[in-house]
Amino acid sequence: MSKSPELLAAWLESKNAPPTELPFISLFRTYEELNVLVQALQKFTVLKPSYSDGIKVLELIAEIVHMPNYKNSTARIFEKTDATPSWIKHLTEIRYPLTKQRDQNLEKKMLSLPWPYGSKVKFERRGDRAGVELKMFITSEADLVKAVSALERVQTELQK
Amino acid sequence: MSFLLPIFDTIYIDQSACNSEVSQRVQSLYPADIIHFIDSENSLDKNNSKKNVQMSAEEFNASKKTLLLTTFKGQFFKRCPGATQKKSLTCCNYFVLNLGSQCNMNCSYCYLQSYLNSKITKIYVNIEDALNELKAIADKHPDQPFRVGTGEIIDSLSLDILTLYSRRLIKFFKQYPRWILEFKTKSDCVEQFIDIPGAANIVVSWSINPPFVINSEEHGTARFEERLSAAKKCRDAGYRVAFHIDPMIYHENWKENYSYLAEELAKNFSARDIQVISIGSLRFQPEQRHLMRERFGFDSLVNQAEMFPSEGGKLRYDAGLRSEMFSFMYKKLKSLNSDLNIFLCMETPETWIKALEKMPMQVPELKEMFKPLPDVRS
Repeated sequence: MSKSPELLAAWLESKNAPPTELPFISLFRTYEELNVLVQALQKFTVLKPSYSDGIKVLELIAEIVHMPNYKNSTARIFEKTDATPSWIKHLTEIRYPLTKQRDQNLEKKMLSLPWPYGSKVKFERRGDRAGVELKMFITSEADLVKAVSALERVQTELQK
Repeated sequence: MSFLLPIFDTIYIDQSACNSEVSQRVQSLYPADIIHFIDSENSLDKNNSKKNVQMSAEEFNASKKTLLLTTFKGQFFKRCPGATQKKSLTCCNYFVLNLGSQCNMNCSYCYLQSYLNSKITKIYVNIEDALNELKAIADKHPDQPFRVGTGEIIDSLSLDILTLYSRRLIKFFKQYPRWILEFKTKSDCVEQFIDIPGAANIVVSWSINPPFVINSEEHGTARFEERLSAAKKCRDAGYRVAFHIDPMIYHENWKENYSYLAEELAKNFSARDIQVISIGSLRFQPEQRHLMRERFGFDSLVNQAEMFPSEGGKLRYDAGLRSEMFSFMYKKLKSLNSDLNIFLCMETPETWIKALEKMPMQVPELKEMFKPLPDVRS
């Protein structure tokens, strides 16, 4: 595991970043933890994440390896590493299992609502809030009346 | 914990504080070999209060063991930090009187970890100046219901055995019955003022959590039963009490544990005893997470927590989960005693509506508390 400092230094150098910005790196202490760090840095040489994405990945991994429920299942960390965004999404789901479950339930509920015909509904998490982004194209007052009526039905469903 | 002398390894007394009552008292309580007299705070480590430099875990831990008695030259009386985020948070018009900084207890989630940049615990010995500042405002607005707390950046009572400021403040506030003084604490240190009869405008409040959370996250504080016992002593001496169920911390059995807390409060206190119960959830500045991990590890519930950036920049639980926790606690408390005054601390209007289905100005018993007060900044 002596490789981890060189790999980290090389990655930071490639991003022109000082190591002081990574206080969470000190969380990798044991042989197993350092092994995970080395594997992650080796993945970086293939995926070439941006500096901020790389930091995000490393901090998520630093937390995951310390979570009481994940200590013996770190192999999951390296699933879905085809591309950086999908890896980050996967790691986030491992780190935030409660939120993953809540979001899945909310998404199912929200997407089953009777949104106005022709509207585009996209479920999203934005910081501490999760919900839907709704896009509608209105061309006339009649369109608007129909949309408002549909939204009232959505409101009724939500109040149930 | 009550009446045990707070543990300090080193005590500094600066020249301006030498002749104060607090200094004399501290010298009579602690061994002379740990007390050092200095010209001024500046003669301590030049790096003592570097601006914008976060302390390391070791420095932060050490800052709890080193005490400085000094005089404060700035403004003692300020608005609560919640008021500075009025655009995003619903503010309850709280004011703070800062008579020191840092805390001798050790909660994993403590916001002082990102707030303080001084490597030392401070007690300001010039309470006279603070009272004069307060008097000037109180004389101008004696009929406005200002709520003033002394527990923002230092616990109101855990070091009170050294200062006895509670006694001075109680006497002062009795002259202004419309003004409310709040001592906010996680200690059970009440013996030093309990001989003074209470008054309706003097509130002793406890930041409280279920025993499971106290044992896991609130190190060096009074235990659950000790806080309730101290609160009962205050109630029996004629003081009003308040409870801040803040921060609520999510964990596997949170519903059972917070139900127990609500039941214990309802069992031991009537609605008349309790001025208010506030509810808040875990929140902290993002930069604080590194220090929290280093100091408390991942067995801590706050380091395991699923936190997200919120409006205003702090990390918080998912808004839906917060609403669920607030709504559960609110309904539980109201089911036990419908007359309790309950409000949410430092929360957004959206969360108020989602959790309690109304804004504070729509709740008759909270209207007075949230009504805007005159601007008293000089």
